[in-house]
Amino acid sequence: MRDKALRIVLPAAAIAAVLLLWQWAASFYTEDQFPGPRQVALAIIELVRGGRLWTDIRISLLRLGTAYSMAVVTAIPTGLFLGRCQVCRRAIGPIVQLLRPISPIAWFPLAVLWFGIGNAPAIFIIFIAAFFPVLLATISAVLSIPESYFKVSRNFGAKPVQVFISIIIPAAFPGIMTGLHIALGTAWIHLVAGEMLGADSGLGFLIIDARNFLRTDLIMAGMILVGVLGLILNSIITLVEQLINRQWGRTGAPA
Amino acid sequence: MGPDRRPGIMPSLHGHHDTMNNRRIPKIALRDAEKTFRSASGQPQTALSRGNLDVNEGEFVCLVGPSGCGKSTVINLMAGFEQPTGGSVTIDGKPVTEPDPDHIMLFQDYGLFPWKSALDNVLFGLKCRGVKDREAKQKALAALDTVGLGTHAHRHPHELSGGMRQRVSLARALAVEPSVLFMDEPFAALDAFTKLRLQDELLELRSKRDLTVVFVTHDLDEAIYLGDRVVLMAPDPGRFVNIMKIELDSPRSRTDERFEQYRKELYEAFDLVHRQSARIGSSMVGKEVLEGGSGI
Amino acid sequence: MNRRDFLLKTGLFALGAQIPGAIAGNFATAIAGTGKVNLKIGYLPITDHLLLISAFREKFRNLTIQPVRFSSWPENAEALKAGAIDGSFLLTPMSLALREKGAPIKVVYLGHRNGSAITVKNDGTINRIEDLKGKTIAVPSQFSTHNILLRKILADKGLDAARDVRIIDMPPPEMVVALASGRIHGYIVAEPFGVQAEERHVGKVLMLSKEIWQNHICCVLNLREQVIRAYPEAVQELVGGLSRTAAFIESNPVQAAAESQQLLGQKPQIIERVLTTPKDRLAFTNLVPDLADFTATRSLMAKFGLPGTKTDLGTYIDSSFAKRALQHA
Repeated sequence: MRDKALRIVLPAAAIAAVLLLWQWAASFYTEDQFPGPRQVALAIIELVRGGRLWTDIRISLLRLGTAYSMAVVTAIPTGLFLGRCQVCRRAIGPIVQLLRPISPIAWFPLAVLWFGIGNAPAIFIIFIAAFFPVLLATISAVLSIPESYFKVSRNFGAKPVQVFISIIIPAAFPGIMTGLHIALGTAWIHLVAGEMLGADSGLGFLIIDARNFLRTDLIMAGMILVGVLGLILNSIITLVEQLINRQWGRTGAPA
Repeated sequence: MGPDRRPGIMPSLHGHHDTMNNRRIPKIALRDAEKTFRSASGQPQTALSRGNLDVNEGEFVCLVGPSGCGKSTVINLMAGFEQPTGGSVTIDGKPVTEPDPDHIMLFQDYGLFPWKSALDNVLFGLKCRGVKDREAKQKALAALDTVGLGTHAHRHPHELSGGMRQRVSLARALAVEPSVLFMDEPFAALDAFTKLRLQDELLELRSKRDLTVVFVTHDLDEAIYLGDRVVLMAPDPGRFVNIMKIELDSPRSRTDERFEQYRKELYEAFDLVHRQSARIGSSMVGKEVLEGGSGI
Repeated sequence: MNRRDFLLKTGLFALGAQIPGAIAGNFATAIAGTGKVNLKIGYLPITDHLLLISAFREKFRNLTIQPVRFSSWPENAEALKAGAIDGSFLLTPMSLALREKGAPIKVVYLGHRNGSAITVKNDGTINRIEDLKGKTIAVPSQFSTHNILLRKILADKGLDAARDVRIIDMPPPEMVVALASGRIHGYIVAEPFGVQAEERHVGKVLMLSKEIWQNHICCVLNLREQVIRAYPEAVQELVGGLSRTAAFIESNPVQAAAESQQLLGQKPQIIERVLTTPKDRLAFTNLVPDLADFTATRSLMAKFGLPGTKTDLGTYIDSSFAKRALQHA
């Protein structure tokens, strides 16, 4: 009973403290320079009433969903394959490590060149942002599979397909799941950045639009909305992770 | 020194179709088997040097020795996880080139799949053999019953103790009815009491089946308690040093006088090895054929 | 109050006391020992802001100019708003909007007259203003004279800016590429981005801004009120220097183009073309800030629904420095 109360009271208290701090910091500037919580709250209401907001959120989520799915569907099989094939890893490894540190945003001009304008460049950026974390987490997960699992499967004469489905995928799953989790966060962050560059819709564009109109309060309202949505997405994937782990009896340490 | 050795007769390798001489054909045979490899620094290392050993059908043979003596190498060669770089390793007269479901290995870390229940782990082996669903389930449950885990069939490994996990491993192996069991220090990770229990259970299980067992351990007492024969190995290079035939009443008793005697002999043999390897450039035993004595 | 409370409270107080200093801290740093003040002036790499080459040409006694380059208008405006720079060449509508929202700035000099162009794809489909119907046109900002000029010419030709054309914001340096890739069909922005498109054969100039509104003002020099109050001699010297530079550019466009590279990063031939072909494409004459110019701009802003139209122009415009500079020229 007390635990439940604390679980709500503590974060609420922290949020209240942050709001107070914000209010206090904002008092040193004009409303136009650094709006306080009240102005931003009003700006949020303005956005909600304005009618555009839901369209923008929907478009952003759609872009995220498309790009993220594409990334997951390509990265996991590639990672599983590379994880098992050392020769392939030696060959492709350096290329992957070269491409990985390049900020997805830097790909934007090339994306526009290859895919034209519209949703495509933003989706491409998100794809890149999500692809590498999932790929690397998958490879790492496959490499961490204890050798004895493979010895056992060889001993019993399991066929390669069986090994893949029965052993590799479930054994690598926790590591892959971690990659999926991280990738979702990265994808969301880059979605907003990508939309700031060349979109005419979505939450990122909303923020840029506010900036073009010199409306700092709308900028901050957009920022808060982006943060809230990011939080929701994170909670969803955490829930999915827990559900699957429970399904596969993995609530304890492996044997 | 007391090891019971019968020099002389080398069992025929070619007569394995001869039913009259069936008992003479060893189930598992190492002939001048050698395993060398290059270490990380490029130095050639000899894990096993010209090893000769017979294991007869139905025998329980224990391999003991300090680390580096090659006992794990021997069992891996027999099970097909490694290939010899010289000589031959055969089972039922045929060279061993890869692991075989007829010869199941148990590992120190149990090798259980944590996302599968005990039942599913046992089913894995059966499914690999192509056994159909209903029959597989029956066999799996029966195997779990045999090891006393029938009621835990739906638990996952993390919910089981170390001893129980090894039992599941055993059930998985027994379910596919292999003719040989390889056990590579299977009880090393368990506490003393569980170990003793499992040793008894293993003997009990084996008494009801036709099983050839090769058991690797560093525990001399365990080797004597379990084995029909105990093979002592020594390192640098890895080699067979000594064989001891164990004749104890069944069911075995750890407090039997003769147990003490074997113990003394084995420790003395081990001591000798120990002292001799301290001497530089010593080679204790020549390349003699060490053969099994059962049945002759 | 125990010791920990006390430390916490003093800590917070000390932190709080820093903030006003932090805001003021960015303002006009006096250079120790020389008696000179360093003024940070924001600009974009456009020919409209060519006057800033005075930073390299003039030997001032009371000040040094530090040009601060931005690649988009919102960045420039934000920096001025935050007090991170002491002054800035800023679009007139943007300056008025900032002033209306309370930014303590005044205009002391104009940046230029004319100087922009409507550039379109050169595939032959757009040959008149009317052909812009249904197309996407980029402007550097909603708060730009370019936006106003575009809407003015569209209205003059009978087009409805809201329904017939799609107007989007874009940073000027991105416009040429956007035109080449087909993302936009045209743009109206300050030079040299019109000439640049022509040089690269990706676009052609449809119309010069001076053809839409002759001698219109566009960018103006805003200075923070604090700076004007604290360093009036430096400001006077600044305006004098700009005035001399203006005359120099008008009489020696070729040399001015050569000197522009340091400021704008463009090839001198391009700048030269902007300054000379045709004459008055970009003009640096008559740069004293005048009420009439601003009133005209403001009424157009009102016509097209832009905020910033309630500024008190009397207190915003300070033409004293410019007039004095003319007298001493």
